[in-house]
Formats: sequence, C-alpha cells, structure tokens
Amino acid sequence: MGRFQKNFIFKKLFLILPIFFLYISVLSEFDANYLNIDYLSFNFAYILIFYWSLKKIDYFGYLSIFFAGIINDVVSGLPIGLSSFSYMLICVAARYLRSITLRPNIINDWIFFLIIISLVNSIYYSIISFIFKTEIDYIFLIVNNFSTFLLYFFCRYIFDLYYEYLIGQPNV
Amino acid sequence: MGHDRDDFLISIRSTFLKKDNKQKLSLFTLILISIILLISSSYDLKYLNYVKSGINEVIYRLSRVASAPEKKLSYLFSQAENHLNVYSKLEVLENELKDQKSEETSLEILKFENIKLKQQLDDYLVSDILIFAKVIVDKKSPFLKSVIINKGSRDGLKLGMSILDQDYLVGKIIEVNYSTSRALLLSDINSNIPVTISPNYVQANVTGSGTFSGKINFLPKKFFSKIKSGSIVYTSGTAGIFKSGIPVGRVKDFDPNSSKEIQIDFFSDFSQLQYVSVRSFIEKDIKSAFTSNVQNTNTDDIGADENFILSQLDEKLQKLLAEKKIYEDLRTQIENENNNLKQDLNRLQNENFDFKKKTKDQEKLIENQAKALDAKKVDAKKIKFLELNLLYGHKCANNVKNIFKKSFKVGSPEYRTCVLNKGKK
Repeated sequence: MGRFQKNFIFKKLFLILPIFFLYISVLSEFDANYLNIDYLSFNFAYILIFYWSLKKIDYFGYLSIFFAGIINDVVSGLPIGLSSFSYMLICVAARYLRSITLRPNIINDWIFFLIIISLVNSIYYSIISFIFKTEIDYIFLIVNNFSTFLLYFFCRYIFDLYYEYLIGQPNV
Repeated sequence: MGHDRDDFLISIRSTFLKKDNKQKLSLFTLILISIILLISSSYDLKYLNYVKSGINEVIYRLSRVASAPEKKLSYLFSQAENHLNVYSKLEVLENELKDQKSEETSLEILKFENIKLKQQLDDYLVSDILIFAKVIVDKKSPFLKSVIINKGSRDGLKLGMSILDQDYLVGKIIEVNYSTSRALLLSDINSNIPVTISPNYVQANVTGSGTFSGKINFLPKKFFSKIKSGSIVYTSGTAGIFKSGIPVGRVKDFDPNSSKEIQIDFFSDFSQLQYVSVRSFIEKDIKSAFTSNVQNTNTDDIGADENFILSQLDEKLQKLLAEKKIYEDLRTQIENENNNLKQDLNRLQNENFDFKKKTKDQEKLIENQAKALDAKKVDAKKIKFLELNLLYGHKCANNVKNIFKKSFKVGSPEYRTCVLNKGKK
C-alpha cells in the first residue's frame, strides 16, 4: 500500500514522474551515453522505458515514448524516427515479457533486458553507421550494453521502492 | 510442439496489435510510423521539411529550457574551479604575459600590415553579414558534432554560412529553421574544409575526427617534411566556402619521420561555446570591377548606377591606398623609434657601466680615508694619554711615594685607566 495511494494529486504526480524523467533525459544536453569517460556509458532511457513498460503504469504510454524518441532524434541531430523505433522495440520486448510471465522474476527480467538491449543497440548502431558512414566502435557498444545491463539492477531496486512506497500498486 | 508455437504467435500478435484501455495506437502502428519517418528523412521533400523545421523549432526551445539547470550547475562548478585555481593560474599568466609583451609590438605591426594588405590585394571575399548568436543546445553525441544557435532564417541565416568563435573558425550552418539553426562543428567527421598550413603554405583538407580534434587529409607524404609540430592552420579559401586566412588550429605532436597522420588542435574549445558569430562572405572582385568600370567610362552608354559604382570603387581604392601609406609611415616611425630606443639603451648601459666603475673607485677612496681617519683618532688618544701621564703618572705608578697607596705597574691597563682618570683610582 503506497503512502499516497489515497491522495489523488500526489498519486497522479508520482505516476507522471517517470515519463517526466524520460522527457528530461532526452531533452537535456546531458547524455549518459556519451560521458567522455573511458569505459563508462549507459542508456538511461532504455532502463526507464523497459522498467516502466513492464510495470505498465498510467501516463507511461507508448505514444509518449514514441514522442520522446522523436525529441531525442531532433536534439541529437539524428534521422527522425530512429530513437522512436528503438524505443518501440524495447516496448515490444517488455510487453511480450509481460504477456508470457506469470510470476515476475528479477533475474529473468534482467537477462531478458540484456538480450533485448543488445539487439536494439545493434540495430540502432547499424543504422547510424550506415547513415553517417562511421565505423562501429564495438568496445563502446559492449561497454554501453554491459553498463546499462548492470545499472538496470540498481535502478530496478530504486524504481521498485518508488513504485511500492509512493504509487502503491501491487507488482503485476 | 504445435501448441507452443501457437502460444508464441498469439503472444507476439497480441504484443504488436492489441491496444490497451487508454492506448490510441498499437505498437505495430507506432513502429510503422517510425520506419516511415526514418525513410522519409532521407528524402528532401519540401512540405516535410516545413514540418520538420516546425518540430525542430519547438523542441530546440524546450531543450534549452530543460538544459538550463544543468548549464547553471556546470557554470557554478567551473566558477568554483576557477576560484580554486586562481593563484596558480595567475602565476602562469604572469609569466606568459612577460613573454608575450616582448613580442607584442612587432606582432601588432605585422598584424595591421597583414590585414590591410589582405584587404587591398588578394582577398576579394568580404564579410557580408555578421550576426551574433547564442548557443542554446550543445548535445553531446559521437555521431554528430553540432550546436544549435538562436538565430534562423528570420535573421537572414542561410545554409553554408561560417560560424566563428571570436576570430577562429568553428563550423558552418547545416540546418536553418525560422528562429534557430544547427551548425556542424569542424570536429565532426562529416566536416571537410580546405586549409593552408603555415609557414610553407601547404594546401590540404582538415576533417573532424569525431572527438575534439581534427586531422589532415589528402596530403601526400612528401609534404610531411614541410610541416612541423605547432604549425598554424588557416582556411585556404579554396572553393569559396570560407574566406581565406581564418585561423583554424595548430598541428599537434607531429614528427615528419614517424607520424602517420597529422592531428590538429583547434584554437576554439568546442565544448565551451556560448556565443558565436555567423558570417557570410560574398565574392567581390574589386580589381576586375574597377577595371571593367574604367573601361565602361570610355563608352557613351554608361548608366548613372555604373558611374556611381565607379566613383565608389575609386574612392575606396584611394582610401585604401591612403590607409596603406599611413600604416607604412607608422611602421617606419615605429621602426625608427625602436632603433632610437635601442641606441638609447646602449648608451645608458655604457653610462651605467662607467658609473659603476666610478662608484667602485670612490668607495675604495672613502675606505682609505676612513682608515687614515681611524689612525689619526688613535694618535690623538695616545697624545692625550702622554700629556696626562706627565701630569698624573706619579700618582698611579708603583714607587716609594706611593708605598702606602694603591698603585699600578707602569704600562698595565689599570695604570692606563688611572692616568686617564687623572690619578683617581
């Protein structure tokens, strides 16, 4: 039972916050993907989208995620539709996992997340290298993948706390 | 087996096509739209470009607002860092300043001369528009090194215009919206500009490396010997995109024998861009225009406009020649002054040397005189003692008269004191 389950305004606010974070992360100049630090980069948007799509909360709809992708492309100067496409693939994976899972298990989710981000990142960087004629930096790709995968575990713990204590819906 | 496959297909179908309560579009539709957008972005469609421009306009503004706290925070961090490093920086800067001051005068003269001669002689690309713009978004990405500025088509910006940070080239405009534009930085891998490498005027191309530096392309190895570490790279003006002579960067850590490629350190720090100037350069061949206009004056059908242009050009040429003369005079004057100052300096140095020599001699003389004076003082004391000895010596000396009084041996320090005290013990 969440602390603010009976307070409509707060509950709504806490439901909106995840999508708000997603929009801030795509709109702001800061991008955890390109920190200019060796062996440290992660895709925060993927973590947010996968976790909250899996939770299937209100206000974190697919259309909002689609627009977040459009914004990310415009701000980063990438071809419009590329990030949306990647985000939608993450949503598909999350929805599929949700539909086949009866009892959620963190390890299963975690491994599934690794597989899906590896697939999505591969598609994403293949398209980018095709358009921008750049060589794919496989080390960067692996580091980014692995860091995102590791960070998911930590973020999931934080999000679970947020979800259970502030929103208060049972784990589905 | 067949049952499992059916379940899988049902799950997939439901994932892609099923819509939830508040969901207006299925995932399949959204993926389809993404792919259509992705494909359409590779085509140059007029109406789509208008829509894209509108979307860009809104999103750039929103991005600026969303980045404001982060920018403020990084500004505060850099300010705090500056405060902490102020003393060490000051010391370094003071040393640098000392070195720079000595070179400043001659450099100023050369700079003036260079600018003026360039304008007069070879540079027929002149600045047409100069617009100052603020960098509103600087999204870090390894694929596209670009910044978004707050000036667009309403301010007269066009594709291909040059972007400068102070006097240094940083990039060119690649996308123009109504009130915003995107500039491609020189560090981007798609950036390619023709340059001249000083001091041997080697012509080459600079390409971005995707990081904060650039590299020289299309330069045969036989020219490597003409380039050294620290050589300055300017725009060559070839192809007419950029004006010639805009400083770009400096060759870094280059050894003609061992280096495989030439790296460039750009003069401007692209991660610190806040304000930039946008410039376009129009081709204006003064000489040919002048000549053609002179020829036209011989014909009868000369128009009023042509006459006006002719007079304008003539006037400008006269002005430039007059300016050139002034600068030459100024240079001669400064050179003369410089020579005079050198001569004065030599004279003063000689005088200083003579003065030091004289001072040493005088010091020696004073020293001798002081010694003589001391000797004289000693003599005066002796005479005084002898006088007193004659008068009071008998009172102090050991003799029969003083058998019952306290007396001293003649020549002893006690005797001397007694005599100087006029016989008082």
